[in-house]
Amino acid sequence: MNDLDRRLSESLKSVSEALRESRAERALDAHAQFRRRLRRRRVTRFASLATATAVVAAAAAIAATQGRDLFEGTKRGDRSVPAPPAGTYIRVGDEPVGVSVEGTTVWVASSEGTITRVNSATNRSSLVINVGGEPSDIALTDGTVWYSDSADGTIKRLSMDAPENFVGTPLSIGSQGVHIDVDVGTKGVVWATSPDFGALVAIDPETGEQIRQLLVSSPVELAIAPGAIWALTDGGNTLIRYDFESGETALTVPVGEDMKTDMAATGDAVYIAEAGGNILRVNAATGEIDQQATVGGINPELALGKGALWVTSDLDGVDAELARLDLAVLSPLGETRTFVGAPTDVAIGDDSVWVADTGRETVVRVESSRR
Amino acid sequence: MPVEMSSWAPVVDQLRVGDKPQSAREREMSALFEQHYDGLCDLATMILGDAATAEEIVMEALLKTFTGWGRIRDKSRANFYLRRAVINLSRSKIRRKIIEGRVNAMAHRRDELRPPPWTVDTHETAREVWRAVRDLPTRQRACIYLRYVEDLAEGDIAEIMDCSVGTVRSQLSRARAKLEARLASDEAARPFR
Repeated sequence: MNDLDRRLSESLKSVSEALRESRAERALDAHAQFRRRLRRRRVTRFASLATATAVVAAAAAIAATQGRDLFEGTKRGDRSVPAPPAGTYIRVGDEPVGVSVEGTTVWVASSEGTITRVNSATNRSSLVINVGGEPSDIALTDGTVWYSDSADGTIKRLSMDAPENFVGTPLSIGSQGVHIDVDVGTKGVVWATSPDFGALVAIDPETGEQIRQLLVSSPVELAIAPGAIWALTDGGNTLIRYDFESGETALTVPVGEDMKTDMAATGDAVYIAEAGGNILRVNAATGEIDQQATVGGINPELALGKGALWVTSDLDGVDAELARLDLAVLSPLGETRTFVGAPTDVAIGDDSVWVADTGRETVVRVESSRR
Repeated sequence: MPVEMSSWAPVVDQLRVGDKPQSAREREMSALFEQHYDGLCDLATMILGDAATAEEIVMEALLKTFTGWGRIRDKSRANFYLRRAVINLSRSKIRRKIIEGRVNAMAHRRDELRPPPWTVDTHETAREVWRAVRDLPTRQRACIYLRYVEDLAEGDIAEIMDCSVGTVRSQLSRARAKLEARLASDEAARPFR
């Protein structure tokens, strides 16, 4: 053990000791609380099991009359047998937080300052670019990779053909140190949230310059649908629809104060994920929350594709879940897979579901046709 | 023979929460809590920098592990599973705070959250080391804790972090290089040596 090792060991152990002393009383309370919560969970589990048994019996009865299996392959709730590996793990830069797919190429933004290109034909990273800063989201237009950098509050772009160099000058959108959501709208226009500045910013895909801004309060997520841009504003408490034709905010919907983790939109509905695992479906025409569902884990991330809503969520920090939900009623379609990983984003492309995973610093590929 | 009040406390607690017999899994989880709660809280505090949030994360990890007990392939390594859960949940917590805009991502790495409860006995060197470790990326912080506080071998750290031994070596090597440089510059900046 050299001097540095000794210094690290002695110092950190002494801090650890100080922490334990200060925690001693609370630890006793925590243990009692833990045992009470274990007991409550056991009771809840038995109740859930009874309910699930009743639901499955009812579903089987309906299926028998209608000639189809409503719960085909569904594994949710069965934790006794570990699920087989859900897919292929492909190593990317540390802390992958955003994934986007175009054709056979997958691009991953990692908040430790890298952008990784993955070749879906070989299931390998073909390039890792050290861009520095703190990438927080990624979007693709024709030939260009766009990513937000939370470190300096900018939107930057790389050419897919020569991604080693930045294209043009980074566009500052005035929000530093916070997550900046990026998405691509019609005609390749890139949209980004600027929470600190209080705006949704539209960027010309050719010049990289700002062409429009919509002033809104603390936007945290955005999603593009035909003719409209949807945003979660007020820190996630309000959903707004900005209508491109009328040029106005066409709808304002309070969606509760629970923390929101992601959003996706079609022409018919907007899907909102809450940190606790709830998924809300908002009718795009009326603004009514017309469906709700709960997935198995926390911090769900959403993607639309293959006629379904794909939801990945974190079960316990080690295992994760990938569910496919019906777009109209949010019921599970097919098998809900459990896999090792800590998901941070999900995208659909090249006949697969791609999950950014900070557990193993990978992107996990699950073939959508296998599900 | 008179009995001191403090020795009654666990019995009263047992009566209050233990009016029905515990299941085998509850007993195992309770034992895991007793053995590992402090270490898990320290690990989470090192990653998060905030003791209160760390305790919440550890409670969450323990309860989720209980719920997903069937997923743990090797029960004898449940403590490793718990550590991995705490590391990933802590990192996820940081990310969510950044998304919520409640904390500046860069500032989070510095010691701007609640510092540990320093006492007069906590040597300045220990404080400097703590602050320097807090400047590392989260995975490196976790590796440093597991290596220098828990004295775990690189193979065990790799199992917890779900990566190769080579990755652990490179994470530790990079962390050590940064810490060495940072601690040397801190020392040079001190007014009295």
